[in-house]
Amino acid sequence: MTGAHLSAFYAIVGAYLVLVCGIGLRNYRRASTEEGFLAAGRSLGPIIGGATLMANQVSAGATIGMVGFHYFSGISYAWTWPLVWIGWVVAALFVAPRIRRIAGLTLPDFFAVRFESKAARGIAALFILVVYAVMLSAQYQAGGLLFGLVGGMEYSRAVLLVAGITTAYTVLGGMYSNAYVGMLKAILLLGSYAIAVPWLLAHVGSIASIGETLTAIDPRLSGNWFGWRQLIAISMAIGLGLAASPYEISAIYSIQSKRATRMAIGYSFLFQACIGVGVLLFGLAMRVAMPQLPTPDLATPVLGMSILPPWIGLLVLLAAVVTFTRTGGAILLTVASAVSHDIYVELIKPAASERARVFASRLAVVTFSAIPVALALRRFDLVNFIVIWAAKLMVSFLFIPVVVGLNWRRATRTGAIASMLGGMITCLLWSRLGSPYFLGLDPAEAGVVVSGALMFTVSLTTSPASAGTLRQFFDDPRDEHASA
Amino acid sequence: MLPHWLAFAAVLAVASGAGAQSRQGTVDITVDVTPNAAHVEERYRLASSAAPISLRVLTRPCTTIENLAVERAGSVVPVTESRVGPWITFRDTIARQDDSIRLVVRYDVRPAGTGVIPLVHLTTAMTGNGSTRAGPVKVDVRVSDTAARVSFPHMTRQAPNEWSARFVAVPSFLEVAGPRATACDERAGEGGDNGGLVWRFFLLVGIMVTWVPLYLAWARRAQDREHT
Repeated sequence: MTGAHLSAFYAIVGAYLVLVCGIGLRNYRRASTEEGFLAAGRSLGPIIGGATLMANQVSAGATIGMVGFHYFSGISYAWTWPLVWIGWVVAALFVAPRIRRIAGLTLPDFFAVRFESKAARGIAALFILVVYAVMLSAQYQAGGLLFGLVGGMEYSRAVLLVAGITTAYTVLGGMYSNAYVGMLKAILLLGSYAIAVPWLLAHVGSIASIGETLTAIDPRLSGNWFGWRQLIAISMAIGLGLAASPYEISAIYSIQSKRATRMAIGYSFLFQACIGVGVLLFGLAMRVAMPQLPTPDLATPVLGMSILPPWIGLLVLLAAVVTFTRTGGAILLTVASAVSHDIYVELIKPAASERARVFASRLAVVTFSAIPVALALRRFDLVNFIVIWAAKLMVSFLFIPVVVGLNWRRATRTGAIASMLGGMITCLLWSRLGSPYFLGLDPAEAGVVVSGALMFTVSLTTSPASAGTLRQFFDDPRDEHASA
Repeated sequence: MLPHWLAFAAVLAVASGAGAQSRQGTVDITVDVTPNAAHVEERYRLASSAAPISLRVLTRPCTTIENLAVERAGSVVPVTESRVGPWITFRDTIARQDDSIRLVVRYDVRPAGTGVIPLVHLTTAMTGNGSTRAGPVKVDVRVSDTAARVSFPHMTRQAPNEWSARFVAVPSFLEVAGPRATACDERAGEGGDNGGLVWRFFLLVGIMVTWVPLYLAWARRAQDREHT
């Protein structure tokens, strides 16, 4: 990248920073209540909602990590897109309609109300704090890598810059900012991919010619690098994890209505399909264009910086910057809400004023932006591996308590806590056993199985929730008799 | 069946293995383009390695590579040639242990008028010994026709007939666009084994294209049912 292009890159990043801070400032007043800050006043329509759901899911793991995955493993990982969508259908059928019955702001709100348990709230909040800090570090790491490569910036400074951008607009506008920056992210990703992919294919060759070239390198690149069992395990971890994911639940709380939520999930599929195909073609074409990159995670930065014409390359790079700062913002907001809403307001100071609650949320955003920075500076692994590992822990911990809790009246507080802890501990221990895994089960699969077994067995041996609580989630009177 | 985590570990090993086997150093590539041919000279400075040198090039339907010569420390190195699909691999038949490796690879590309100039590259990844941004690979292209331009990958015009760029790895090919480009059907060479990539790709796109309207139709109907 020449000096002029480098200046142009920093100029558009600067313009983006000004724009997102502008969005944050514009929404500062609207985010002056806790509901406004954490749930955008429950005002999002289906398209903005769809962009928000997509923007949460399509993180640096996709625009940097997945391009790198396709670069070294070929097409097979792309099957995770439709497989992950099964998780979204689970969300549309079994999670979104029921969870919207309570006017919650965070996922731990659901645990507190459904299971009548402060302990369940506290455990869920603590878990979110730890796992999301790791996920946020992946966004910062991807950002550090990109700014370091493109801008020649020192890695630690680059991580701080990305953390700064993310924190700035989140602290100002909360969920409102995240929603509108999510829309900006969707437009930028779709626009830049729509221009870059045809240009790339025009030079690198057709799908058939890319296939011939890749097959000659390694036949698994055009076939099955990952087996179906592996793909299903990864997709289950990500997709089912999304169905119960705290930041997606927060987004669902922010959408206007049940109908708008279902439609938003559909629009999110549309955005994801376009991005998924773009990411796949970027990875495959880059393997043909530059087959010996020092590390696969460099595929997107090198594409934007060295392969594409400058203005298209800048768009692709800006889209990547927006991706990890926006997903970082959503994660940060979720972490902050776990601290400010679930721990400070609900467990420590329930009488806190509206102003104090919003101040606590903003303070938590700033404070908890620092922990992932420390993690990102240590650079643990490839970006997508961090995201997958966090997703596995998430599905083991949250999926069963959320989905079963919303759809089975007999689920109890003790069952939910046993399910959460049992699932997480199993996932961790299973991964410590090393490969080949016992019974051929992935840690996430083992975690979900144990989590489910504990939920059902412990719930059946303990007292159910009160009738008043159950009425909030289940409206069929016959079910009430059955549970009694 | 391969356990999942083992597969991930294998994938990581492949990714990190590329770095472990890589030869730290720099590459300078000079390409002289005339209307009917291109002469390429690649100068490698590599760290010591006992492994034999292995070079690879991506051939294209409208180009042929001729007169390839590999020199190591000033003397010609005999290489064996093997072809898999569109890739030709050249292997050094003698393994040696030197303190450092200076390798020069020269070859001609004909006809260059079609614009595509394949570049030979090492089969292991190069890791830079300097800034990754600047990259260890420097490519200079001189064109005889000043109306010609390098259209792939992105390079900067330094003079009316000179283009240059730095990369973190060697590109598979350059594309020079110009008024004298001769017509050639790049698709003529297709029809080889694409490993099922084409049907897999279109099946995936087909599933996505079908899924979205089906889901949206269901979401609308579900809401209508709730209203009635």
